[in-house]
Amino acid sequence: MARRFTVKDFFLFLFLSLLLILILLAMYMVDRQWLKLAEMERTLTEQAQDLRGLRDLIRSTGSSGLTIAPTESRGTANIPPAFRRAYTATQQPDYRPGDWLVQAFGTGLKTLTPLVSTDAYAAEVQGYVLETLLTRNPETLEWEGLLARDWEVSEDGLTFRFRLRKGITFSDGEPLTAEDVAFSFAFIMNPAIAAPRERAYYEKIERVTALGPYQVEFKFKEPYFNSLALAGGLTILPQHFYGPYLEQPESFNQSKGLLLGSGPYRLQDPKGWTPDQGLVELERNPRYWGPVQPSFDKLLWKVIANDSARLTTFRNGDIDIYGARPLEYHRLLEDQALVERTQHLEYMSPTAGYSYVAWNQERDGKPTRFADQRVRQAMTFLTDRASIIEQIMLGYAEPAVSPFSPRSPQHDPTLTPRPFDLAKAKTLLKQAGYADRDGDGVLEDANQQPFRFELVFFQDADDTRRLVLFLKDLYARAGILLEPKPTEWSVMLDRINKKNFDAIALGWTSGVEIDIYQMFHSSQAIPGGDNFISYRNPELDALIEKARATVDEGERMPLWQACEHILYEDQPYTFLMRRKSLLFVDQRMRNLEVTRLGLNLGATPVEWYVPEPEQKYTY
Amino acid sequence: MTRAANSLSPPRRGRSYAAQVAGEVLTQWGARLGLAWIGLLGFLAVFAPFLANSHPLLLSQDGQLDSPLVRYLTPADVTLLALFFTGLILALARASLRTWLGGLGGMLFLAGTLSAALVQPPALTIYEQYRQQEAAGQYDWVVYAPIPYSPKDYQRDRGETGLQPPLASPQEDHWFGTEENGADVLARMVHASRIALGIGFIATSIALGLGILIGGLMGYFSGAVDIIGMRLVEIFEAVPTLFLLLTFVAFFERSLYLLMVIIGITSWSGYARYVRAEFLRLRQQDFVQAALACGLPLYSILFRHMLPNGIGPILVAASFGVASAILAEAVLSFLGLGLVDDPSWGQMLNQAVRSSTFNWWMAAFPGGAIFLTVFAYNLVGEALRDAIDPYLKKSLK
Repeated sequence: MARRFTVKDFFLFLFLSLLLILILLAMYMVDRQWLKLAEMERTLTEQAQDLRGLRDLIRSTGSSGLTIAPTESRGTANIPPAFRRAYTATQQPDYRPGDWLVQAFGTGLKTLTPLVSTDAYAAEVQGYVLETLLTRNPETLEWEGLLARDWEVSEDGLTFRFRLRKGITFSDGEPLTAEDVAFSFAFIMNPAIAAPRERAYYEKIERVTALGPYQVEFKFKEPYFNSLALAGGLTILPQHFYGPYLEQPESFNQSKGLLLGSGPYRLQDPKGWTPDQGLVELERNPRYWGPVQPSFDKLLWKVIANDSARLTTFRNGDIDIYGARPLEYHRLLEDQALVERTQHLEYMSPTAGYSYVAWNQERDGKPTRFADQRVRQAMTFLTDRASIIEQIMLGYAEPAVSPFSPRSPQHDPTLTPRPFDLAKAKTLLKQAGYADRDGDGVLEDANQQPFRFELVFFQDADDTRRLVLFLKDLYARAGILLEPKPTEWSVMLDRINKKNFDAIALGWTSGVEIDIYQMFHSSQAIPGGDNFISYRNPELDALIEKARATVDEGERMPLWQACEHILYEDQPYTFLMRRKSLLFVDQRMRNLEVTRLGLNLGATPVEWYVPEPEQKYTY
Repeated sequence: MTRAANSLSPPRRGRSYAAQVAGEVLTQWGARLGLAWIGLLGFLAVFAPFLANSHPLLLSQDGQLDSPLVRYLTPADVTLLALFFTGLILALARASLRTWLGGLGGMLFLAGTLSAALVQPPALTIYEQYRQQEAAGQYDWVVYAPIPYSPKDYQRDRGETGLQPPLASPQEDHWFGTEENGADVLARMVHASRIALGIGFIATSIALGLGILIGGLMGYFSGAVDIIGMRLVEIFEAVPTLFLLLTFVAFFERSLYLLMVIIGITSWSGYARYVRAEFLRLRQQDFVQAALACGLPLYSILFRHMLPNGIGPILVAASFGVASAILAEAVLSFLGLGLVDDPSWGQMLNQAVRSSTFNWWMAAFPGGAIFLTVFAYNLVGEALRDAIDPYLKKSLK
């Protein structure tokens, strides 16, 4: 006889499942209690540590007969120059600390660990956590002390001595001393650590020694024009945190989120961040040493890969900043609701860099068509940059003349971009031996080979693809066949390393004063070097070397300008344009300012803030 | 008496199995509509250069007649036209299936080699030149194609910034709007019908050929051959076509032919299973045993006696396969991994959500075309299945 499911059974099952759910909930609750307890315990120990430090400080100052300066004195005289701008922001009538700054990344981050990470996104996050000795004033472009109180340079320009501020601690409470500076350099130079790019950069420094707890000396091997920036730009890593990884470098090189520094923000768990969290969250560093505390309680970066999803999130007000492409920017400006709710900025960032088409001069050990200077010049004459900027960038760009920014003293203002000139290009090509020999409209060289080349470009960049199709039409007018070759990024890097391409469309980031050694010096035309077009010009080599070794700015700038003239004549690249940054920022954000270094977003000390009535995120 | 009987019987006796199936398929409305749509696509594909082209059809310059459009015809255009007219003649002559296959195959070979050797359109095209010369008054008169734009004519001279809705661009003559580079969407859609048809038919033919060969051998020999063959089938079934395509496109050239071949060689396993099952059943039957006893050669038994009896269900599967091959190409193009500037429906669909706005015309027209084509093949496939499947027929009656 089959047992039937009775009402009694039903209540039994109900009771049992209720019991099960209750047990589960209880387990969950206990678990949460434990987490909370652990967090409280950690905060308590940290506070006890801070108290102890404070007591020690009072005792030591008491015994030496000094009085502690009143910390609440609000005179600007006590504010170091690097913090002046941030301090001015805090003096605004509507200033109030609090709220979060929420941004979005277009791709997921692989790692946050300094030195191991290579992308700009990780660098952006690290900028809030790690600090350097010096920082550049965004208006005057002068160097100002951040961790360093002051510094002196020896007569020959080879020795830099920095005096550190006292009382700086890392975000875990450990003090920052000159030992940490020396360690940071030693850490980078350790071959077991995966930081080849930084190492190549810092090789100019012979040694860094701690002369005392608050004094450190950088000794350079040879004079270098950018040596102050190099020494002052060294990010200071805490020895007690990163030091143990020298024993096991592989675990450092493979790590995902080892990030601890002295900056205004910190990771809640400096060892525990993983990419699968899908976001990066920085909290205020409670022990920040700076005289001006950052305004935001929290910085948050979400990972939103899809462009339209990112825009929708921005429209909904869930992220605060959205960088638009030209056509998009144009359309969004017509969106009244969005324009009213946000601030929009268009500016030329000096660090945004330039895009170019690089002409490979040597392939498989043989010179290519582009080894002929006249051909390269003709290609530049054919590249109608004015129309490209107008039709593809909708005017939100300016033509590039050379690697140097027109706003930099490295640029000679008498040089102007070559205009579109079909007749001149045809003449140059004729001189180089190209003519339409079989009447099909395509130019042929002396060996009857048609002028046909492949242009390699990154396949996922929409604007670049449109640009390449435009170039194809432009070059066709002179009888040159361009074959677009969209390529995946990893394949593209491989082609660059093997110098296996005819021409390539790329971009370089830029700066206030840039060093062109890595892309144009003959010695860098090695496998893996950045002179991947095998461009060699002894005259330019000598000028670059001389400029790099000239510390005096008045003497150096004419040398850079002479380099620029050679590049202008040689056209190893056809320099295309510098794009404007097109940005929408939520209405709440205040104190947005475009400086000579670009927008003051990401500037540390933090300068943006949200007035109280508009604060969205409160605890 | 005899004359009357004669006039009645021949039509019924002369109807082959193929003709019967065709007749039955055509009685269904769905199949008729599907075939009509495919026929329309075929027409568009064959006559694409004459329907949408920036090169004038005919012009008169200083009393001299010229037809740039004809000069710019590619070998593929010429071959397609030759095939179309061969088919037309064969249809008018009411030729048998074998003549059809032979005629078209021969013409494909002949026209293909001849046009590849003889037809050499200029490698360089500057579309603006006609508009500029016409504006300069250098032509006495000029006749354009009905859609006076080539699919790759980005109209740089007319200041098109792209992504303009229908009839909203400065010229107001883009019936389906423009795409992101400023090319006419209608012209691109007309030319893209070639890719849609070509990829479906060629990829499925490759898959069908491989499937029949391997499946037939497996089914006929059974035993060890069958076991090895089935493992091969399982291996190929485990390969995800789309990811293989993505990888290939990333590391090799983006070529339409490569796409066809990859889709073809990764999708034969289904057909092989069908053929194997059919052949396993047929090999026991008397007529096969009789053919064996007569000592007929293997290929004759396989392809003349067994295959015609087992091909019905495979044709049905193939019509669905064509639809899925079209979809595979569309998906790839939608992901931005298709051809660079050659038109394809998927690639156009990809632009529907570009530039922060919903470009409805880029979603509606190419998306609608993909939908209708896949739907048409499915309709035809279902009608074919109804006509071929004997069990289904019994239950219907």
